[in-house]
Parts: sequence; structure tokens; C-alpha cells
Amino acid sequence: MAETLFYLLGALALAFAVGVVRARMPLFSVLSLLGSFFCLSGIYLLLGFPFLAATQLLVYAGAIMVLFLFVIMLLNLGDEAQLERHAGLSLSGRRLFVGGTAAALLGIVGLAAAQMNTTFVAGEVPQGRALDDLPTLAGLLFTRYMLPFEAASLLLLATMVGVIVLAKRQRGTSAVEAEAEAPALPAPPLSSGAPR
Amino acid sequence: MSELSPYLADLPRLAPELLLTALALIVLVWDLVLRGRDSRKLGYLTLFGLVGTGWLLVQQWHAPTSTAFGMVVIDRFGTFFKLFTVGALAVVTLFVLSDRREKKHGVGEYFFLLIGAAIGIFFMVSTNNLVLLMLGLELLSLASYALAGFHKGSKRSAEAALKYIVFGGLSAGVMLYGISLLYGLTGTIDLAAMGRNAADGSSISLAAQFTASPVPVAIAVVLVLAGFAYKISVVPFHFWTPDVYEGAPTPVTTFLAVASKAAGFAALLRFIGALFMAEGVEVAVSAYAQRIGLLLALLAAITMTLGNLSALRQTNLKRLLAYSSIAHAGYALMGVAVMTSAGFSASIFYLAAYYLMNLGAFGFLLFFEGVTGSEDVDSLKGLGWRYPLVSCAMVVMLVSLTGLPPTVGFYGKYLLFYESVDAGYAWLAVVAALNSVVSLFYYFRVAKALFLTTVEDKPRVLQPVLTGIIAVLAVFTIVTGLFNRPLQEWANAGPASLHIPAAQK
Amino acid sequence: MSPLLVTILKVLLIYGGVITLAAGMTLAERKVSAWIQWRIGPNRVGPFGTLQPLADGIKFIFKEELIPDGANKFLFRLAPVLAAAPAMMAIAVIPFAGEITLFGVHTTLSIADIPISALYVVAVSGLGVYGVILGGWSSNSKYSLLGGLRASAQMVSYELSLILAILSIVVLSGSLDLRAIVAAQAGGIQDWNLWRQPLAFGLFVIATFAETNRHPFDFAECEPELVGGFHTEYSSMKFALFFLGEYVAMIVMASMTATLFLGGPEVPFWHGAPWFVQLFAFLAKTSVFLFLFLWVRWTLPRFRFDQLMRLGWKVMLPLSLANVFLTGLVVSFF
Repeated sequence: MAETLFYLLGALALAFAVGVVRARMPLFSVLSLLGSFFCLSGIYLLLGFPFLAATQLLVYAGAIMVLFLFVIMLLNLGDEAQLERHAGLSLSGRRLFVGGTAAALLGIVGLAAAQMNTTFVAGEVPQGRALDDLPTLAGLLFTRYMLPFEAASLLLLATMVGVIVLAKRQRGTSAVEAEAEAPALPAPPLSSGAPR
Repeated sequence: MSELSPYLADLPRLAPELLLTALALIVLVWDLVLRGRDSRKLGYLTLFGLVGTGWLLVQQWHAPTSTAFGMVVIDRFGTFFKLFTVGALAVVTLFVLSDRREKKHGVGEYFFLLIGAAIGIFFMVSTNNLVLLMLGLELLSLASYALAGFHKGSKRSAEAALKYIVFGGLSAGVMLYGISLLYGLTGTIDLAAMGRNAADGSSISLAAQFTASPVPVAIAVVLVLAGFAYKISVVPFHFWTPDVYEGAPTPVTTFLAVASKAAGFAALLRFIGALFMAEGVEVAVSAYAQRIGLLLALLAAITMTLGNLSALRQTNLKRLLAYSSIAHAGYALMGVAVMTSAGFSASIFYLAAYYLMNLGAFGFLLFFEGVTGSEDVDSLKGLGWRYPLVSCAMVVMLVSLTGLPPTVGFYGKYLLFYESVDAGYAWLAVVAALNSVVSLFYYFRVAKALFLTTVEDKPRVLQPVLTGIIAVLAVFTIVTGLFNRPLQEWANAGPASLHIPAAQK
Repeated sequence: MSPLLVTILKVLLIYGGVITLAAGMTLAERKVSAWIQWRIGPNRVGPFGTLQPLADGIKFIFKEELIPDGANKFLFRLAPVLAAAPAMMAIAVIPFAGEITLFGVHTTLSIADIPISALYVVAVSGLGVYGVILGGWSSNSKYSLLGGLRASAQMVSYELSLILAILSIVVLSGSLDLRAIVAAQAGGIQDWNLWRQPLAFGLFVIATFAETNRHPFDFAECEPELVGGFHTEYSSMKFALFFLGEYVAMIVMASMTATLFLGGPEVPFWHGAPWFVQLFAFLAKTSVFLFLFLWVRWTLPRFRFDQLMRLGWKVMLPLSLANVFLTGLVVSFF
């Protein structure tokens, strides 16, 4: 039962992932990615890790993909053909590249699977207690893996600063006022750009 | 709390990292308080903090090897690269402060991102833990993406950031995939543990998996190597380098070319060293290492040839230096490919030389951007007579980059060639020698433009700080070339602290 | 009776009850608005207009279905489902009452008891925004598009405060399980989280208004500016599904507020009360917040969109972060 479900979810996740690349409209790419995330979340559930499953939904489906949709709708990106004319990309060339890369990767994985004589191990899981026991998980995060955990927070901070640096308007003479006026998230598209 | 205390006891060993983190946060908050006015103060603060970090690192150099948090190895290998990172960062900070074109931009976040990237490097070069390695790599990468796009008015800067992000994201994904395979195969994310079978059966050594079926192991290792190849811009993953180096602000380019690339090399050395060459690694893996070495040797040959041939056609000095840095990655990879302790030392020595000469070369580039506002080699015509000190220093750098005596570049190349021939890669040494001849052409085109033509007089632009840095670097390039013993001893400490047995010929 | 059948029975009972409650809410909305505006409200269908929702339902079914020209038909049909389903899914873990014995099977009055139910509710109910966004996008109309756009920005902004408010409760109770959070509030009124976390309570209630797209944050529809916002082009049962989704989401959020802050089904000063008393207590607490939704809608003016963003990012987010930080400090040192 669980194995069947695993293969089913795996196949679905893969199909959705192909959909992300194949879709003609960016919006459908995002929706396919969303579908793929749902399948992944299902796989986490099967593995007995509901916390990760819910977090996956919360973070990726609930926040990140919504932001993707926001951007796509804000720019009103329509058909891929339109995009191509805009960016001067060749559709067939890119298809070939993407398809080729994907086929090569699949080939590699297939080769590995055919040759497989490997036993997989998961040594980092603490013995005797389920990983989903949240206090255990939290305990691991704040003792043994404290350093990577804090490094990740530093990484996020640097990313935030970087994003703000890239997104903020050019600092003009009256940058301070311009910042105070601007709303926090979407800059109103009608306002007249940076003050000279 | 009591579970936490053994970990808290490890904190003093991370003093350099903690100091840098504190410095980054102080810079960020102070910039907020200053509201973007007078951000030069932040630069001075950064310099001050870097000096402190350097002092702490020197303390660690003399301390015995230890491990903090079970994943950060504090050894001479890591400290060597950390020291050079701090030095490079200090020079870059001075570059930012003396970049005449930088005054238009608010530079407060500049310093924060630079320090953040340096913390990433610190973790990268000193960990055996693949998760921490990946986090350090990403910290470095993400800060670099933002830094590359720092000149928002400039289209090329934006293009650089975009290209960097796209390539970086892709290669990070590939590398993570490889790491996940390695974890699945061995059951551990610790590189040192991957070499051995655990007594309690919680992890299987890579050698055991390799004898069971070699292909999955090969795929995993190659995918991880691909991630490193991107970071050090080795050939199939070098496409981003020229565009990013050209588009990014010059101080950032310096940082990317020098500190970021060397950090990639350091992590690669540690990865290969711990996985294939350390003491106690089983024989099956050591044999496999020779094949990986052959692959790396091929990549090195292709990389240096392609970098040098492409550099021949460049008219833009920044692009020229970008291609030259690709070529140098190829040279430095020679020492990794031979898979011996001495080869590793040669690689480390060459990277140290690479730090010196590229910091100087990019400083020169920045100097002349300040003078002419252009990056073209042609715009340098005749400037050698008007700025003799800087130009002579640049000629020293070019001599060193080409690999001619009496500079440090020569000795570094000599070591690399010697070790390659010694390990049976004579063909690689021949390719590298031919490449050095090719590189002579384009390096001396720069020197020719500086000195062999004259142009009309214009008022001189004085940039004393830059002049000073470049001159000092030039002196260092010659002095370390002539008296290379201490630097070589430091480089030799590297493989020793990676537990690579010395005599393996 | 086998446990599976009992579970199916619980599903039927709870969903039947919730949908009836949602239908009742549409009537309540009109009655309360009438009361606040000194009108009478619906009073023709059934005694005091109580059968009005039924009449509305029949009307919805018999209305003509229109799909605008140039709309993306697949997404246009999918959107109402996506709007209603997440709220329905979130209902599954709400603890309506404690232990109950149905046909000899000892169980609890909630469809599923999972150890991470608090997280599950937020994760699932956050997906409701997809219905709004896709409905707005696929309608091929500028009003709808703007509605969808606003909904996505708003949802992401307020979900943060919502989660952080829940987090401070979780830190306090030491569990992500709603049952455990309820158990931690057993005892008298003084044990409610409301008193221990007043700031989180305020932030949570404000955020629920934004999460459910209710007035004063109903920018996704916002009649004066956008005609009907994301559902401008919808009619018939598709429109009804959007409606249902909105009201069920309100019920979810109100019951979450009651569970997290007012002790959920725990009856004050009567620990271990029989299940029907608990259910009654739960419904009473929930209806306070349901009434609050209606009360606010008909009395407060609407925000401006930039004010909404400023409130979300510059006021609520820092406050909720500070609250979590303080809670953590208090929990670890006292």
C-alpha cells in the first residue's frame, strides 16, 4: 500500500516537474510546480514525517509560490511566444537544450539504477525515537546542528539584505524621503520612478 | 541547558567567525543609523574588525588542531585560507573606499555583504560536514549575487547578477543532488566518516559502496565536483565568469576572482583530501582517486587552454583578466589532479601566489578606471610614463602572472610542473608550459600599451591609497618569489593537517 | 460498529454541521447588518427569514452559468474548488469536543487528531488564496486581476503575523497539537491563553481578518473600487462555492481563535464535562468571533491598500516577532 502510494506520488511529482518545463504559460509552470510540491509533501507523509510535510506546504505552497504568482500577474506575463519575442529566445533551441539535459540526467540516473547493488543507510537518525518527535528534532537543531542552523539564519539575513539592495531604488538626493513614502511591499507602478 | 553546554564550550574556538559575524551586524545596524550618509566610516570599521580577525587567526595558527561543534575543523589548512581571505577582504575594502566611481552609490550594505561572504568562506574552508559546507557556499554565493548587481544603474551589472544567479542556482542544485546521493550511500554527512565503516553499522564507507557498485558513487562524486567546478570556473562551468567579472563593480570582481575562487579550491582540496587521500581511507577508494585525478587533469588542461586562447582576443582589460583567471584555475587544478600530498602543497602555494598577483592586477585596473573611466586596453596607451610607479608594479604582476622569474608566480608554476611530472602527468606539464607561452602574448599587450606609446599630456589623477597597495603587492610578489621558503612551509602545513600521508610516490 | 464507519459518520456529521453553520452565517450576516443599520433584514422565507439560505441555495443552482469570453476555462472552473477545498480540509483537525463514545467506539469529536494540527491548519488554510488568485487571473478582466493581485500580496504579508502569533502559543504550551494546547488551558477562565498572550491574541484576530479577506481588509473584492474583485465574472454555483469557501474559512479562523486563546471545548471550572456541554461551549466561544467578523464589517471603514501593507509589515510583523522573542525568554527562564 505505502509502496504503491510512494511510486504513484513519485510519478506524479515527476509528471508535474515535466509540466513546469513544458508549460507554455508561466502561470501553468507555477501551478505544476505547486502540484509537484504537493506530491513531495505526500511522500514526506508516507515517510512518517508530517511536520516536514506541513512545513513544505506552508512555506512553498503557502508563501513562495504565491509570491511567484504575484510577480507573474504583476508583469502580466502571458504566452511563451510573447515572452520569446520580448527576450529574443529561440523556443526550439531551448527545448532542445532543456530536453537534452533532462534526458542526459535521466540517463545517468537510469545507468545508476541498472547497476545498483547498493544498500542505503540513514545513520543520522537518532535510534529508537521517531524523527517526528518534535522535541527531539528541536533538540538536535539546537545542539548538534546548532552551527548549521545559525549559519542558515545568517544566510537568510545576507539574502534579505542583498534582495533589498537590488530591489531598492537608486539612492538619489532625496532618497530618505522617497523611502519613507514608499509602501513596504509593492512599489506603486504609477509613481514616477526615482527622483533625479 | 546542560545538553547545550558542551557545545557552548566550543564557542571560543569559533572566535574569528563570531567576530566577523558581530562585525557584519554592527556594520548593518550602523548603516541604518547613519541612513546611508558617510558610509566611509563603515569601511574603516570593517578594516579594524578585519585586523582583529586576522589577529585571532594568527593565534589559531599556533594552536593545535581541534574540532568545534563536531563539524568545524580548526587546522592550519583552513587557517591559511582564512588568513588570505581576511587579507584579500581588507584590500577589497580599501579598493571600495578608494574607488572614485563608487561615491555615487550608498555603500553601507556593500561592507555587510562582503563580510557575510567572508563568513561563508570561513565555513567552507574549514568544515568536513557537507551541510555546513553547502551553507557556507550558499552564503558566499548569495552575497556575491547581490554584490555583482550592486551598480543598479548599469545594465551590465544587472546582467552580471542575473547570469550569476542562474548559473549559481543550477550548479548549487547539481551539487546538492550529489551530496544527497553521498549521504544516501554512506549514511553520514561527515567527509571524514565517509572514508571508514562505522563500528555500529550506522554508516557505510564509500569504499564498501564502491566495491558493491561503482556507478552510483561515481555519479555522486562527479555531481559534487561539478558544483566546485562552477565555483572555481573550470571549463564546462566557466561561462558565467567573463560576463560576471566584467559587469560587476571592480572591487567585487576582485573579491570574486581572488577570495571566492580560492575558497572554492580550498573546499575542493578538503573534499578530495578527506574522501580519497586521508590516512585510513581504504585501498579501493585510493585506486578510484587516480581516475578522478585523470578527470581533473583533463579538465585542467582544457580549462587553461580555453582561458588563454579566449584571453588572446580580448580588448577589454577586465574581460582579459577574467579569462586569465580561468586559465589560472586550470594551473591550480594541476596540483589537485596529481593526487599527492606534494601536489596539494603546490596547489596551495600557487593559490597564495594567485592572491598576490590578482589583487595587484585588479587594483591596477581600478586605478586606471579612476583615471580614464574606461576598461579598454587601448585607453591605457602611454599612461605608463605618467604613472610610472603603478605601471611598473603592474608589469611585475604581469611577469608573475605569466610565470617568469624572479616572481612568486614563477616559483608556483615551477612547483606545479615539477609535481605533475613527478606524478606521471608529463603531458599536463607540457600543455601548461605551452599555455604560459600563449599567455605571454596578451599579458605583454598590456605592458606594451602602457609603455611603448606616448600620448598628449593631461592632468594627473592622484590615488595615493591605491598606488600604495599596488606597490606593496608588487614588492611582495618579488620578495616571496625570491624567498619562498616560509610561504612554502605554510603551504606544506595544509596537506599535513588534512591527514594526507606525505610520501606516496 | 467498526472504527472506520464511525470515522465516516464523524466526517458526515461535522461537515454537515459546518456547512449548515456557513449557511446560517449568510443569514446572520444579513440580519446583523440590518440590525446595525436600523433595518429589518430578510423576514419573508420561513419564520424570521430562517429559510432564506435555502432559498438562496436554490436560486444559485438555477442561475445561468457564464464563462467570459477569453477566460481560461480550465482555471476558471478550478478556482472555486480551490477556494472552498482548503477551508474544508482545515476543519478536519479542529477539536470540537473532547472524548465521545459513538456506537461503542471510544473516540474524540474531531475528524483527525494529528500531532501537528496547529501547523496543519495554517498550512492548509493558507492555500485558499490560490482560488482567489486563479479566479482573478482566469476571468480575463481587469477588476478580477487586480483583486487576485491584491489577495496574493495581502495573504503573504499577514500569514507571517498569523504564524508568529500561533508560534508564541506553541512555545507556551510546548506542543503543536491543538488538543494539547486546549489541555494546557483546562481549569478556569484565568487559565486561558488570552490572558497570557494578549498581544498574540490581538495580532491573531487582526490577521484572521486579512486571511479570510474580510472587511476591513477585503481588498480582493472591494466593491467601490473593483466591482466584485476576483469574483466579478462568476455566477451561479461557482460564485456560491467562493461564498461557501469564505464562510467556512471564517468558521475555521473563529474556531482557531477560540481553541488557541479561549480554551476551545474546555468548559471553564468544569474539567471533563460531557461532550455535548463541551460542544456547546466551543460553539459559544466560536460564535463570539463569528459575530466579531460581522460586527466589524458593518461598522468600520475599509483601509487603503498601502495602509494595509504598512500595518502588516511595519507594525504587526515587528510586534509579533518581539512577542515570540519575549515568550521564548519567559518560557526558558521562568
